Order: sequence, then C-alpha cells, then structure tokens
Amino acid sequence: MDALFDSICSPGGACDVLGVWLAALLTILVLTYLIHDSFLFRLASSLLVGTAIGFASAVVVHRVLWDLVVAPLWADLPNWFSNTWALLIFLVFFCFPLWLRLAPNSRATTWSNLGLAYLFGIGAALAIGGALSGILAPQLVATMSVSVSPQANGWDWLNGILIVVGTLGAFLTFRFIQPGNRPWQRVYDVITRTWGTVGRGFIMVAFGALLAGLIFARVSALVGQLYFLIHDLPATLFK
Amino acid sequence: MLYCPQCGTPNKSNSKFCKNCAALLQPSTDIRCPICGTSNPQDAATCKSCGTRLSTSAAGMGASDKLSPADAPETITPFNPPELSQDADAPGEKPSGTFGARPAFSRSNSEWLRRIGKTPRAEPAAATPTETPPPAPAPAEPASSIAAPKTDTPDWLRELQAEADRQQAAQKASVPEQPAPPKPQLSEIKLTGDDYDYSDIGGQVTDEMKAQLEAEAGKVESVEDEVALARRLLGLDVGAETAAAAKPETSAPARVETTPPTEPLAQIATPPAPEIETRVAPTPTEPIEPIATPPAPEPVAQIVTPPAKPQLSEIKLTGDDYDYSDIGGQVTDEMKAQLEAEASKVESVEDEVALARRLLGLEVEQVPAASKPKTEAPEPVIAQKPKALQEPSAPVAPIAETPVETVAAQPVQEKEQAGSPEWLAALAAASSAAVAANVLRDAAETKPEPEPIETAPREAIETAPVAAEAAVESEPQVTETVPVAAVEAPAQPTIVRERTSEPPAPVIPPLASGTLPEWLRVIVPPDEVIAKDQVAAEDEPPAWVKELAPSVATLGPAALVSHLPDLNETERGDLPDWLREPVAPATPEPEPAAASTEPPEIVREPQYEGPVELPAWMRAGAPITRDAFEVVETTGPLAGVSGVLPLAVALMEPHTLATPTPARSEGGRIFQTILAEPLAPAARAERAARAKNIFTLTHLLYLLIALAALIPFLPLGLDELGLVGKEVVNSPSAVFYDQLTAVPANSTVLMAFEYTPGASPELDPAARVILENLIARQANVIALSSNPSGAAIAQALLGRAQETHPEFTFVNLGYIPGNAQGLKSLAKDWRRASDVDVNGVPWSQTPLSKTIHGMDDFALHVLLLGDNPALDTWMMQVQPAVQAPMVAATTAAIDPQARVYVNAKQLNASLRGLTGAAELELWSANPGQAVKTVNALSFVSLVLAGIIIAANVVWLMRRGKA
Amino acid sequence: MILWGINFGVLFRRQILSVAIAIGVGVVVLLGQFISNATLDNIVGTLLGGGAIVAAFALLLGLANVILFHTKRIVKRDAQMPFSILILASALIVFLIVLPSGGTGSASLWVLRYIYQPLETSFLALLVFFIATAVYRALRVRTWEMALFALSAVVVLIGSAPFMQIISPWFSAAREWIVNVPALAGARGILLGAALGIIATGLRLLTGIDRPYSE
Repeated sequence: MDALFDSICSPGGACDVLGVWLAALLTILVLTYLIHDSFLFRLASSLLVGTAIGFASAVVVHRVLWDLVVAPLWADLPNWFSNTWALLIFLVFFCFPLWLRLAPNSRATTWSNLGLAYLFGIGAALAIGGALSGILAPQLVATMSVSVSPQANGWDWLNGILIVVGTLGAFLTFRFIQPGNRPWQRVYDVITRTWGTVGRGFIMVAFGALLAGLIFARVSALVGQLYFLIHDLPATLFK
Repeated sequence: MLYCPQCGTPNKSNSKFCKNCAALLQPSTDIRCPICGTSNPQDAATCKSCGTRLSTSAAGMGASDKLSPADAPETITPFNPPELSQDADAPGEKPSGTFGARPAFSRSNSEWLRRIGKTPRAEPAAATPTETPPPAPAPAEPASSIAAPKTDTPDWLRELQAEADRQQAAQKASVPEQPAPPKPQLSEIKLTGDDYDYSDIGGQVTDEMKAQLEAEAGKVESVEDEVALARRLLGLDVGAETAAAAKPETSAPARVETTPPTEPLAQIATPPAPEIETRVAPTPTEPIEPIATPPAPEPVAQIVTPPAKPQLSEIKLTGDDYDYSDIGGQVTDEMKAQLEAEASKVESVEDEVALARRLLGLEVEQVPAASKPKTEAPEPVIAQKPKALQEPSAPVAPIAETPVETVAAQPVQEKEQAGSPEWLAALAAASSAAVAANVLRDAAETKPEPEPIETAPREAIETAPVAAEAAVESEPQVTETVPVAAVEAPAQPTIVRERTSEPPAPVIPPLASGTLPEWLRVIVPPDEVIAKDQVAAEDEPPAWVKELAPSVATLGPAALVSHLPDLNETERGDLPDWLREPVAPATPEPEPAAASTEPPEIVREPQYEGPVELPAWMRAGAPITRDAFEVVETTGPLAGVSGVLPLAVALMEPHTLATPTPARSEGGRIFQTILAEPLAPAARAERAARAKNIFTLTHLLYLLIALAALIPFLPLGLDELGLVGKEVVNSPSAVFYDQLTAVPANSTVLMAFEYTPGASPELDPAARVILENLIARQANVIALSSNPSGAAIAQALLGRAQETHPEFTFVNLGYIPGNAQGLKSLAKDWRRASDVDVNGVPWSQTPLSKTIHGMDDFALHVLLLGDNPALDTWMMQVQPAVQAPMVAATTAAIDPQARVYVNAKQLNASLRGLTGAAELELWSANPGQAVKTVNALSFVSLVLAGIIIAANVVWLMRRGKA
Repeated sequence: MILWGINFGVLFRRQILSVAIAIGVGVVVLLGQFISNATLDNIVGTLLGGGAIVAAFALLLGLANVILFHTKRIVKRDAQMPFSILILASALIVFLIVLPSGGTGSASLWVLRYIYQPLETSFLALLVFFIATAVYRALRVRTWEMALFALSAVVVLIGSAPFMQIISPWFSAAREWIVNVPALAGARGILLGAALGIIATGLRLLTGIDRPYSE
C-alpha cells in the first residue's frame, strides 16, 4: 500500500494539496455545528469514528497480532511450535475466549473470564505497586520535606506552610467520620472539619487552575486549526 | 384477591378490611358465579344455577365474597319510599330521602344483621327512631315504631302492625330459652348510604329507611329477618311480615356506623298520602290495579304507575351506591361500571331508572346491553351506548313464566294490595310506570328481545328467597312494603305483568336528530333513528350498528373467549369473569366455532356469523329469574341471554369520562385526570419564537471568540507579544530548556509521544523544537508510544526531522501494547532482542541497541503527554524504576498536575503547551507555528476570562437589584 | 470436564479458576515489584508480556464490538444506518491503508495528517465555544467555594496569556503562584487520596473481594 501510495503521491505534490483541501473541508464540516447540528456535522463525526477505529485496529493487529503472535508462531512452525507451545496455550485459554464476549447470551462466555481475570490481576498488582512507589511515597516525602523555615528564600517558607496546610486540608476534606462523645473527640472533630473546609478551598483553587488549563488547551486547538486554515490552505493555492 | 361485599373493591388476599369502605372482609370458600352470582361450592366445576363454567380464578372472587348476595340470598333490598321522613318536605316538594340516599350497590351484606341479632342494641342515638316505639315488646319496637301509623293511617295498616307486634311477642314468648343471638352493636351496623345495599332484592336505601333499619336492628336476628325487613321497607313484599316471623338466620354486619336515622320509623311508615299522590300524579293510575291482584308467580305488587321521580341530585351514580332494588334487580359490579360509564348521559331520573332496568334486564324485549361481570369490565361499554340504543321496554309475553316470588308472600301481599291506600298504590304505580316508561322509550330504538326472561329465573330465584325473607318482617312495614313493592317490582314479573295487563307503554317517538350526540348523528343518519315499532318489527340490529360492529350484533361468550388471543394465566386474570372462561353451550354453536377459526384482530371484536344454539338455561321457556338490572340480549344468537357485555355499545360509543369513584384504581383516576387536562400548548410556538431570534447571546459569544482568534492573525505586527524571556529564572520553560541543553552530545534520548492527533496543535510544535534542540546536540532519539496513533505521530515528526537533518539517528519502537503493563515491562527489561521496530527491524539489529540496555541508559526522558492517564502511568510504572532525568511537555490542561510531580522531584521540568513551545522556539532562535499563534492564544484566553467576569458581575448586579 | 481428577466444570461455574488466576498472577507481579530476584523477574516479565498480548486482544474486542453494533444498525435499517455505513466503510478503508505499515507508512501518515488530525483537532476546538457559553451560564459565585474556583480560573487564564506580560509581570507571577502553591496543594491532596483508593481497590481485587471479571 505504501509503495503504491509513494508511486502515486510525491511529497508536496498533488496528494498533499488534496489533503490540505480535504482537511480544510473537514474542519469546516465540524465547525458547522456552531450554526446547527446538521447532516454535515454528523458526516464528519462518523468519519472521525471510523478513522479512529480503523487506525487503532490496524496498528494493534500489525504490532501485536502479527509481530508478537503470528510471526513467532510462523517462524516456529517447522518445529511444530515446540518453542511456542506456551504461547499457544496462553492464546487458547486467555486471548481467544475474550472474543466470546461478543455473544453475551452464550454460556461459553464464562471462558472469557479467564483472560479478564488475568488482565485484572496484573492491572491490580501494577496499580498497587505504582500507587505506592510512584505517588504515595514521593508525594508524602515531598510534602514532608517542604521548607517551612523562615530562613528559606523569600516567601518560600510561607509557600511551604501553605502547601503543607493545603495538602493535609485537601486530604481531610474527604474525612467522613462521626465524632465521638468525649470532649477531646469533639475538639478533634472540630479541628479536622475546619481544616477540611480550608482544604476544600485549596481543592477549588486547583479545580479553577485545571479549568483554566483545559480552556487553554482547547483554545490552542482552535488557534492551531485556524492557523492551518489561514496559513497552510492559502499556501496550496499559490504553489 | 378479596372483593368487598359492600363496594366490590378488590383487596389483597390478606386484607381484613376493605380499603375503600372499611367493610370487614371475610374470605369465603364458595365460588360465586360470575354470571348469575349464585354461590357454588368450591369444588364445583359449573354453576348450579346457570351452568356457567366456574374457573379457579373466579374462585378468588367467590372465595372472598362470602358475604355476597349470591351467598346469602336472604339479603334484602331496602326501599326508599317517598315522603317517609318525619321532617318531611312540604307538599309538592321533593322528599329529601326519596331516592336521595346513595344506594348501596354491592352485594348485600347480611353480616351486620347477623350481628344485630346477636348483640343488644346499645346506641340510643342510633336507636332514636326506635326509642319511640309503641308500647310493644322490645323485638317489636322497630316494627311497632315503623308500624305505628299516624292518625291518617288506614286501618288495615294498623291491623297489620298490631298483628306483627303480636306475632313478635308470641315469638318471643315461645322461645324464651333460646339464647338470643348476639345482636350486633350498632357500631357494627353500617348505616350509611354506602353500606346498605339491598340491591340484590331491589331497592334503594334512604335515610329514613336507614333509620328504620337501625331501629329494628335489635329485632333482626337472622338474615331472613334482615331481608324481610328490607323488603318491607322497600315495599317489595306486602306480606313480608309473615316471613319475617320465621326468624331467618342473620349474618353479622360487616361494619356498623352510628349514623342516626333522620326520622323515626313511625313517620316513615306513614307518609302523607297527598304528597305521594302528588308525586305520582302524572302517572296513570291503571298500573295500581295489577298490584292488587298479583298472580301466583309474582311476589310483588304490580307497578301500575311510575313513582315520583327523584331529583337528579339524588341520583348517585357511583360504584357503591347503585341500588335499583326499587325497580327490581340485583346489581353487579359490572353493571356498576356500566352505570358509571353512562352516568354522564343520565340526565334525569327516568334515564337512570331506564338504564338500570336495562342493565338488569327487566325489560324482556331488551337489547344487546348486558350486565357487566363483576371484574373491572370496561365502563365505556355502557357509556358508549347512546340512549338511542338502550333497551326498549317492550311488552314481554312470558310474564307468567317467571316464578320469581314465593307464594307465601302472596296472600299478605294480596291482602295488602287489596287494602293498600290509594297513595301507596299510586306510589307504586308511579315508580313502576316511570321505570316502564323509560324502558319502553329506550326500547323504541332497539329490538325487542323475545325471550329475555330466560335469565330471569336466576335472579328470580335469588330474589324470591329474598322476598320471602323480607316478608318475614312484621306488618309494620306493610304499609311501606306495599308502595315499596309497588315501586320496586323485583325482576320482570312486575314489569312484565304491567305490560301484559295494560296497553303497551306510550309509543316512544323516534329520536329526533337533536337528541343524539353529535358523534352518533354522524354515524347514524337521522332517518335511521328507529321508533319503537320499527325496532320491534325488526329482528336485527340497525344497519348502522352492524356497520360499525357487525360482528358484535350477537355473539356468545364462547365466541368471545374463543377469539381472545392466547393469554397466559396472568393476562387471563385481568379479564372479566365472563371472558375468562367460555360458557359451555348446551348445544353446539356453529357460529362461535366458525368465528374461532378466524380470530379477530382485536380481542373485543369477535365475528358474528349467525345465531347460535343456546344452552338450556338460556332458552326461552325456562323459568328464570332475572335481576332488575340484568341486561338481556334481544337480538342474535343470544336473544334472551342476560349478562352479555354490550360490545356494540362498547365499540361504538366513545369513551366518556365518568365521575371517579373510590372503587376505581388510582391509575384510572390518574388517567382520567390526564385525559381531562387540556392539551399542553404545542411546542411549535416556542420553536417558532426561538427561530425568530437568529442572533442570540450565544451567537454573540461565538462571534467574540472567533474575532479574538482571527484578529491576531492579521498583519498587525503583533508577533510574540509578551512572551516570557529567559530572564525569568524560575520560569518552568526555562528550566525545561536548561534540561534540554544539558543533554550530552551523542547521547540517546527517549521520547515518548503519548498524545493523540487532537493534541497535535499543542504538542507538535513542542516536539519539533525539542527535536531541533536535540539534533543540535547530536543526540539520538528512541521514540515509542503506548498509544496506537502516537507511533504514527512520532514517525511523522522524526521522519521530517531526518529529512532536514540526514545525520539524525532515531529508532521508532512504535506502539508498545499493554499500556501500563507494556511500560512496566519496558522499565524492567527494556526490549527483547527479537522485538522489532516500526520498520520490522529487530532491536538487536538497530544501531542504538549497543548503547541502550535499559531505561537508565538514556540521557534524558522526554515525555510528550496529552492527557492525565498517560502522565500517571509513566509516573507510576516507569519513573520509580528509572533514575535518569525525566522531563515532560504537557498540554495546558494537565500542566497543574505535572507541577505536582515537578515539585516532588519526580519530573525535572515541565513545559506548558503552546506557550512553552513558543518560548522554546524563541530561545532556540527558531520561531515557528507556536510563536505565530501565541497572540491568538492570548486574546482568546482574555476574552474567555472577560466572559467569566462579566457573567458574574451581571449576575451580582441583578441579584443586588432583586 | 474432569481432568486429572479435577472437576474443571465446577471450578468454572463457580468462578474459582478465574479468581485463582487473578489472585495468583496479581500476587506474583506485586511481589516482583518489591523483591529483586532473577527468577521472579523472569516470571514477572513473562506475565507482563502475556498481559500485553491479552490487552491487545481486549482492545480488538472493543473495536469488534463497535463494528458489530453498527452492523446491527445496518441490518435493522435503522434511521442512523447511513452513518453506520459511513463508519464501517471508513474504518475498513483506513484499516486496509494502515495495516501493511502498522501506521508508520506514507499512506498512513497521509491519513493521519489530513483526515485523522484535522477531524479530532476540530472537535476539540469546537469545545471552546461551548465552554464559553457554559461558563457564562453556570459559573456563578454563589458560594465561597465557587468564588475561589472562579477567581482561580480567571487569574490563571489571564496569567497564561503572554500578552498580559506586557501590561504587568504580576499577572504571570500570580498565575505561577496559584499553580505552584494552592493548586499544587489541592492537587496533591487529591492525588494522595486517589493513590490510597487505588491501593484499596487493588487489594480488594487481589483478595478476591471484588471480582469485576466474573459475570
């Protein structure tokens, strides 16, 4: 396919010009949604879904099914899969039964649970290990090592205090424990609730920053597409 | 399911009290016939009375309906004689309690009477009418109070009363040792208009009658007593007192209300004659004659004149209140439903009475309208049937065939009838004549049924013992029973006698067009309105009826059932009784069989293909007793059959909303409410109004954003405005740039393209500038992606870079499957020798395989991250196992999260989206797309911030004003 | 199915096999993250490699389900049938174009650059307008939390615009402070909470309490 394409289309040639116009057309089709949810928009959305499905499936088939499964088996075929029997067993018991999920009413879908159990087991283990070593430990260390000493540079000490207070407060926001009846328990509850309320403020600030970042990201996409329409599209006319 | 004996409301099986009227529910093991209401043993397969096949599902009804009148034929039908209240209305005025009390419509409940017999009377208030008894023994109190006539009471009445007193006294004396049955407490007696239901013996309870019943509650010790008392009150049995002396067993009342009677019985017993005469004045007096000489099979006096018509306000067409015992008949729930449905069409008492008579099948030449089964039969059946189609009260020949009443009641009845006062006879005649007139008028539009009385025996049998028991009541009720009997005329015999003994009722002129509802006029041409004679002359339904529902002209239950779709038990349970099981005809019926071969499309449209052979009990000549409300088929194969659902009516008449009743389900009420509500205004108006506004605030916002994005692209010299320079030391972009510049020459850098094409506008510029910097440092790049499209993006960028810099060396490992698992495996073991890159070259054969054996062999890890999961995956799976420096170029959306990892030293630096890329381009002296688009980025961001500020300012201002 | 004296049918029906596999594989991989052992590493490596293959099959299963869904719509002649036809047709065409090279060939890159990327980018760009209307209608400072939220968003937005640097460097500084201090604190607290939740959920799964893989 690539050879055929290369023979037909040369870099910067007609195919690229056609591609630019096609991209511009698709961009306009999507932006018509601002006027009305029309057939054109649905056309563009269907095209996107189909393209994404085709692209992902092709990459997975090529890179996994072929490179990791078929090719080794094919290479080992003369030896009657002597070296790849484990792979075969693995495929038979864990991989192929997954496709039985396409027939949900079939009693054989129980076989697909093996592959899912395998995935879930590995995923859970990796998640636990990653949460422990990748998030919990470094973040706690970072929180504890924040400089709160006034001798730090500038207002860093105050920032450090704020970070510590904010981090713990955000953590305490999700505390749902009924207080005890003893005085100290009630005092403790008041403190933690107040701290949790402060932490909620920090969370809202974080959400505000995330919203701003999201807006910025989408604006970047808009600006990028406009730049394409303004810069790249006319450039093809003057080629 | 338990059916309340009072109101017929279905209740749960474990209910003790009715949810509607709070009547005591007592499960019954008997099975009640859905057609005739006869109580049958539980193991009975067919009804002993009418032969209807009894289904197990109907057993629930029957089992719950222990107190139904079918079980207790001794139930009585109270009568609402006019002018019986002491605070009687002025002459000429309509008496308040004539037909004012809401008649109890359900099957009778003798329970309270049984209780009355067992418990002593304790309510002085309730016993108000009984507190004015004549000096007679206690049992005779009510009788005496009722019987005590006023000064103008005729002698015969006084004699009867005295005789009754003597009999009661003798009875008391004769059985002194017998333990008096526990008389029910007055609180157990249901003394409300809803609770007295003697419709099965025909009658309508008024407040006065209630008072009488209360007063005599102490005397009632058995069901027969109750029945006799009620019949006496209703005037059904003039000689009911003699039967009352037999002391039938009483049944405990289900519930007792302490509603005191409105007037003493004595006053009820002596209505002013002139008033009655006035009331019945318009009616001919001839009908009185038959009352005086009742034939043997007829227990009640003939109705020679129609009774005084009650006011329309007195008609209570609710499910609990139907009591048409005064015109004879036993009302079932199906009839109730029909009456309810047609309540809106009832405009006068005559209409009501005619309708009731039609339903009860009192008129022999009746019509297709049949009584409904006890289940929730479709009410519109009746409602849909126009008056024009109501059964005519054509004269019926086989009057003499109705055995109906007992002979025992006749002598007294005759005696009473012979000596009945004129007012009484006039009253009886008036009521009967009114009913007859209505029925006859209705019959003018329908065909007369030659043998409707065939079903009468059933009701007659029921009413006969009722009448007999009512006759047990003492003579104090004689005077009332006479008019009551005259008015009530249980079943056809009275009416029939009336018809035969006198000329036919006035010919009902054909209905004028104006009297027909609009929808019916459309359907029925005026010239097709049939007069009575025309209807009588024909033997087929009108043509237009056939047109509309040709298959419904006549059909039998078997045919109906045979046409039903295959229903499971649950669905059959929803059907009315008469549809659940087909009636097994005594003789083969070709039409239903033929009809069964062509199942109709709709359940309620079976095909009529001719007359069918009727079972023996349906055939003419068989002695039948029919309820006054029984609807008798007049045409087709079911001629003479009663209890058939008038499907023609059901199909043709439009559904009309009837007054909601407590018996209806909540869902029905809600449905009616919804139907009654006006249609919601069409949304088209809103859409049209909306369409008119082409330019709204939303469009303004869109325009603002578009302008903010486009204007910076104009050649206004607004390039790279405000980009932060390297002078700011702590700029994140500067730190990132420093990390890039720190990469040693000829080292290898890992670049992870973890973003989709959607993030390309933000990260492609960053990737390009990073590559530019790395190429400038002669670094090699190994690219990979856990995203299927990331590998393609990487290949595009790397290939383009290689085109401009041929010395640039890179390896694209392509798509790493498994996401977290693949990255973890990569972090642990890097690559296997056999793993290939995007070009199919095994790793071991790539030029960089010799220097890179693990993740730590890289000089720098540059992560191009488009979303948060990718960031977390790398931080969780790869970063803990990697010691090499790691930097991330992220979109602006996840920059705050990247800062967390930067702060925790998990990332050395982070680059924020397009702005960071623009800064890098500036510092790299290679301005590109990022620099050219950053102004637009700024303007749009500022516009959006302004929108947020403006929205809140406006909102605060409006809130301040408010 | 009884094999070697073991009734695999019962084990199957009662999901014992699935649970055993999930727990066994999970425990081994978890141990391999904290214990450095060559044998264990080999086993973990093999398991991880197999997991990658199973994950790929699961991804293809998802894609196949989408194809099946749209095929059913076409068979039923649904109102959306034309779009389903377009989806399947475009998926098939792109699949045939991309499959030979695995996504890195010239044809694949052409599809990526002129079809896939413009479409996805345009869809994301469309969100800007809807975000604008959404913030105008919904972002009201009714409570102090919402006030903080709106204030933070506005300050970060304004500070992110390089243009504001011309007016005053304080905008950029304010943005940096908000992102580096309070927002960081809040995000870190959320991250810590999420990490604890992940650990708890993973432990529930590894102990067999949760069985999301069973029917």
